[in-house]
Amino acid sequence: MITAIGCARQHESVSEQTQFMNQFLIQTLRASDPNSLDKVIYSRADTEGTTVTRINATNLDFFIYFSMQNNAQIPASLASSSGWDIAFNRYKISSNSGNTNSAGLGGVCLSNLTSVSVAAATDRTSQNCSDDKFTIDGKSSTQGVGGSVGEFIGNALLTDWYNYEIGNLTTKGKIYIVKGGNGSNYFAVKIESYYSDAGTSGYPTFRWKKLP
Amino acid sequence: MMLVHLGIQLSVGKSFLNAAKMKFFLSLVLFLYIPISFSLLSQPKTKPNPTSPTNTEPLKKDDVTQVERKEETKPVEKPPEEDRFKDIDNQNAIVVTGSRGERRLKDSTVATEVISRKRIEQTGARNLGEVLETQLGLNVTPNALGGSQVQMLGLDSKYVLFLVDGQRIAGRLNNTVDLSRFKVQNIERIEIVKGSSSALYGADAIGGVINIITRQSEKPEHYQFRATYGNGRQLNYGTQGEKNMIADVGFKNDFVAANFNGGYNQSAGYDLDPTTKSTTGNAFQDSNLGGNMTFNPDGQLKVKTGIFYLSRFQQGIISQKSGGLFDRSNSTNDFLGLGSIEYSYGKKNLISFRGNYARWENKYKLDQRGSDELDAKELTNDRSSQGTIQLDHELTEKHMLTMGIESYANELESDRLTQRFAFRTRKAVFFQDEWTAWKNGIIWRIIPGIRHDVDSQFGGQSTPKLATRIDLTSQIVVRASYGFGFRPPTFQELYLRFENPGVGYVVDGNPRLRPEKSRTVNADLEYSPLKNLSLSFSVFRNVITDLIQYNYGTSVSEFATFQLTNIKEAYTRGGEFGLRSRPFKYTAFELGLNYTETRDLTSDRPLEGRAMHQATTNLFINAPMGWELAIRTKWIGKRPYYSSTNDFAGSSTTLIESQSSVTYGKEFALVNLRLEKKFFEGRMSLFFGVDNLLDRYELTYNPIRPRFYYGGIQAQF
Repeated sequence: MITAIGCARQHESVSEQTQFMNQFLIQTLRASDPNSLDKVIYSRADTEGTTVTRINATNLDFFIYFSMQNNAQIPASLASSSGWDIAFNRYKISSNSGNTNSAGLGGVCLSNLTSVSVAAATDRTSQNCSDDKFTIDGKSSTQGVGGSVGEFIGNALLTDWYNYEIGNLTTKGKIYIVKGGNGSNYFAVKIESYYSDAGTSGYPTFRWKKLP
Repeated sequence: MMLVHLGIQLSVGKSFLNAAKMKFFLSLVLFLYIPISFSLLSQPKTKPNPTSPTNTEPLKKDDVTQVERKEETKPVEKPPEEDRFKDIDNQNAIVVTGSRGERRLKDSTVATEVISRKRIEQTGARNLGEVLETQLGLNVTPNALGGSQVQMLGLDSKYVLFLVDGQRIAGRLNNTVDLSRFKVQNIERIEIVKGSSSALYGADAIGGVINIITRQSEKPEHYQFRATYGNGRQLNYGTQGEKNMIADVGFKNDFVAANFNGGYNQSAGYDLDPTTKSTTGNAFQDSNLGGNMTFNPDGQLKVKTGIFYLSRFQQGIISQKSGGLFDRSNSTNDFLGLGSIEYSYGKKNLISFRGNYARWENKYKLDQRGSDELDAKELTNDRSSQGTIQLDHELTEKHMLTMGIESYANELESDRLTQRFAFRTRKAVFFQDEWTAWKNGIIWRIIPGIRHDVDSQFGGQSTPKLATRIDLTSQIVVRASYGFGFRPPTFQELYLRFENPGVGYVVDGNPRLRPEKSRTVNADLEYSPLKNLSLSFSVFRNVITDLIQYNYGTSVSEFATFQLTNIKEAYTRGGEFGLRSRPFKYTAFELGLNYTETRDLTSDRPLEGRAMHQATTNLFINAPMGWELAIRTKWIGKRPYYSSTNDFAGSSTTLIESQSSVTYGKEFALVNLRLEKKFFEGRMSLFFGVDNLLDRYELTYNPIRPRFYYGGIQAQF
């Protein structure tokens, strides 16, 4: 009897500490892996047919690519495909076009409307977004205080979504029409905030809806 | 001290019959006393002994005649019966800060404000911040990271030099010294010298010097215990309240005088806006131990030692604009060890060797709620040591020379420094001549002084000072001084690298910063037309050049980089009016008015957070039967504010904040009241007090404690 007990395993094969450590290591590796597909915090249906998506774009070095057509994250290895529509690197935003991806057919236009659902239900031309009004990606500088403090490649129009004050980014509330990477889908997009629930920066949250 | 005080009261009662005779006698004494006191000037080392037991005994008629006879040969102190407020303002008290040596307050060439132990007790204060908050011309504000900080002559805490028994201390967080570190039971008195005083003390003495003199044992034996409990509105303070306990024991014999004390404080903090999760005042708990010993206290060769230790834990909740909520804690260890050997020879010559070691360690922890992305742990470890050799030598009757050499070393370890460790040394030589230029009816004294510091990082700095004092008559005294000051950039200002992870900016130090320099000119007039009335008027102007301010940096970051640079200058100037009177036998009244104008010449606007107008009134009533009442009032006018962030605490952000918006902090009056009743000849007392009686505060611009009630018991033997 005693021997039998002695033969039984006295400890778990992998200790809690080791499990925790492994998990931590995996998280750390994933955080610095642009292909790891865990950067969408949530993407859920909201009022009036819109979708609200929050991206973990805290990594300083690479963009997180998102396909609104498929409502899914796209790995960075497919960055030069036309399979994504919008990408985030902290507060900077790219469309699938220009210097970001010369093969992409995307672009961004600033709508004159103020609501995502209304913009998605309105003809593009009547919100000042005819085909010639789309801006493609290029090299531009950040809009920090005290003049330009850094250059980046992305969409200058879309990256102008925020108001900056020391210690906080708030949205200007603008509605953009984002042309998808394949050049045939259009989405009404509004950046809503930059912070996670815990108040960490680098979590852009955007509301979007596909135009018919 | 309290014992003596009560003794005085009793004796007044007993010798009531003799009052008429006494009055005559006293006026005679005073009449003789005034001219004689001038000859006392030449003996600054002779300590008056207000606590000697003979003074407390009721004078009988025989004694009077005896004293009268002595009077012709020897000066006599004011008989204590006359002055119920002697402990509050003792003009015969010794001050040391203005001249680095013991001088009588009333003879001091350098204007020195003294906050006596009695005064400290009557404020009901538990720490230095609470003592200074009702002091005229000083502004005590809560520090964003906990505790409180002081502004002097309209200048920030980083321009104020803090000393303990004349020795430098370690530990500035964000360039400010937290006043709540200093517990009052260690303090015998506080001396304040306003204006640039680098000629004596070297670096950092731009706005002035605050010298904390620790308590020495003067009685054969003494024991003191005090317990206090306080609380305020439950909405702001919660239910836990604040507890404070102190004990103080000491003895003195021919070989050694020793004093030991300890204390424990616990407070749940306060919250001015209970609707949010963030708190306003930190909850804390701390314990402190201290002691000093003087060997051979009455001999020619004295050896003094002292140690002070404080361990403190503070915590609070802060919220960011972005919605982040953080639990913040600071765990601090603070140690100071002092030692000195003094040898006196001749009439008032003294040679002294002094040294100190100070260490201040702070562990800062930030714990983000709901995530660990922005968690942070930071260690700050500040160590300094200092050694001084000083010679006070009377050259002739007219020249008292003070000279010395000083060596100082400072090492800082901090997670916020680019290279983590920073080290510097300073060596200095100083010289001062207290010269009595004229002494014939009018007394004219001049003190030229100069100090040269050689800093391992910034090279040589010479800082002269010239102070003069003219006693026009026994009633009118005029003083003036002109002094230089300098403040080398702190290690943080030089090497700071702080990346705000939440909001995407970087704050950088600048290794090419130059020291800030200042010049202060001030003058004051003291007029005492009546025995019970004295008036004072003073003016000052202080200019700081090479002012260190934040500007945009050059390195690349997410949104912006801010870097410190030497830019232009700022000035502060103003005047002060003071009145002290004893309108009735049992009351003392003081009034002070302060006007301070400040200007930052880069932006051409007033410095942030400075009140142009301030007023204080103090009313002390020492009634018979051991009742004492103190009502202290301070009114502070509106103060301009330009920024709402406190990420940049310590330096001006003029250049990086938008110029347009000015918000004014509301004017407010702070009223503190304390009532004490003594029993058993002063051995026991009960006290009760209310701080911030009018309950004035503002969450953003004046986050002081709301109305707070406390009461307690004290025993001393």
